[in-house]
Amino acid sequence: MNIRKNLIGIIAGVGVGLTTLLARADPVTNIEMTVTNDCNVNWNWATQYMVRATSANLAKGTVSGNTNDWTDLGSNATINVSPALYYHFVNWSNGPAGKSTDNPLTFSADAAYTNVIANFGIDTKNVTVSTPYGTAVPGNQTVDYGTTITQRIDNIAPIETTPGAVRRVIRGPIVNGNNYTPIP
Amino acid sequence: MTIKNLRSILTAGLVGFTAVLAGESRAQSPVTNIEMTVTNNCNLDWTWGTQYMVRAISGDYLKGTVSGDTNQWMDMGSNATLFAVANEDCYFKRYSGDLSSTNNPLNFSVNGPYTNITAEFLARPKISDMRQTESFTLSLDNLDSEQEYSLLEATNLDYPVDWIEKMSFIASSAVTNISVENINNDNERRYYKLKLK
Repeated sequence: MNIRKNLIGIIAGVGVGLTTLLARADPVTNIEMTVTNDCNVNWNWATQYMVRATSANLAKGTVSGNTNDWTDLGSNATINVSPALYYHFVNWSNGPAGKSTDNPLTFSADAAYTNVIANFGIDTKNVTVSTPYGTAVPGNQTVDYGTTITQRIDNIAPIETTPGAVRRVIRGPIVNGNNYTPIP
Repeated sequence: MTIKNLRSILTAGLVGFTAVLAGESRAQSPVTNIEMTVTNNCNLDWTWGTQYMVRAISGDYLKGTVSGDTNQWMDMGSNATLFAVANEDCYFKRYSGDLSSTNNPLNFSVNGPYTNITAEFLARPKISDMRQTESFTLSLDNLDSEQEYSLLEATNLDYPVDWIEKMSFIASSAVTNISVENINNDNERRYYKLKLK
């Protein structure tokens, strides 16, 4: 049951001489009146929707906020994400339309959202490769954090920029930003 | 064989993430293949060095030869060495061409291509008969102009030879011979030779 009705008070008939209590934290469920007119007593019930959110993978990130709450129709719910180290928030599944990448996710509870899922992805890193001569293989890469890759330089025969007088020869790699190991 | 151009250098980069390998004149091939576990954005630059050709020849192989870095690709900024070796009765005069020097051996920093170096050699002047007992005239053919020479004299060629400078002069085209007087008049055999001063 993802929709429920809560008693939030009474609405009295116009002209009825009684005290009305609306929008209280605790709904009025018990009243007293001295009847001097014909009157109607309507016990008023409001609509609430369930908002439930989870992480697609707790190892990659968690959610907080209105993750398991009955929320009044029309009020705002907010869900926050906390990616794990080396992960980042990607998007929401089964959430309100048009807000799939909002972070935090704030939306009006106009329906039940009982299966909102936060999706996380591992961080990616860029490897930018440059060489004035030869062929860098594979060259520029974008890889997941922690991925082990190889890079090599092909076509390294000396390049004679002035034939018989000046040439360029491969010296080796300079890597800024990451450790590396030469492969024999 | 030491290969001077084979250096692998990794310099420190972003916030200390860089490993460093350094080498000088390593007898190994340059690193051309690496492996890394990527935990940061990084830049990989394949570095290339500059080499210049050093080529030196003898101006006259009958008079002398040149050895050392005579036909070598040399790293920019490295030192090259040339050795001029004169044949018998000849002497090294100078290097000419892309550089000029009378040093031997010659060491120089390779800061550009040196593809035209010539080691110049000259024949030593000869005295037709080095053994003299009387005054004689010395022909100065084949002397290197503007050079100062000494005429050395010895009375005994037993080892060690005790050569004494008899006279010195500066060669020029205007002077074709000099007279060497034996003032001792003792009829003793004496030996002479010319030497660059």
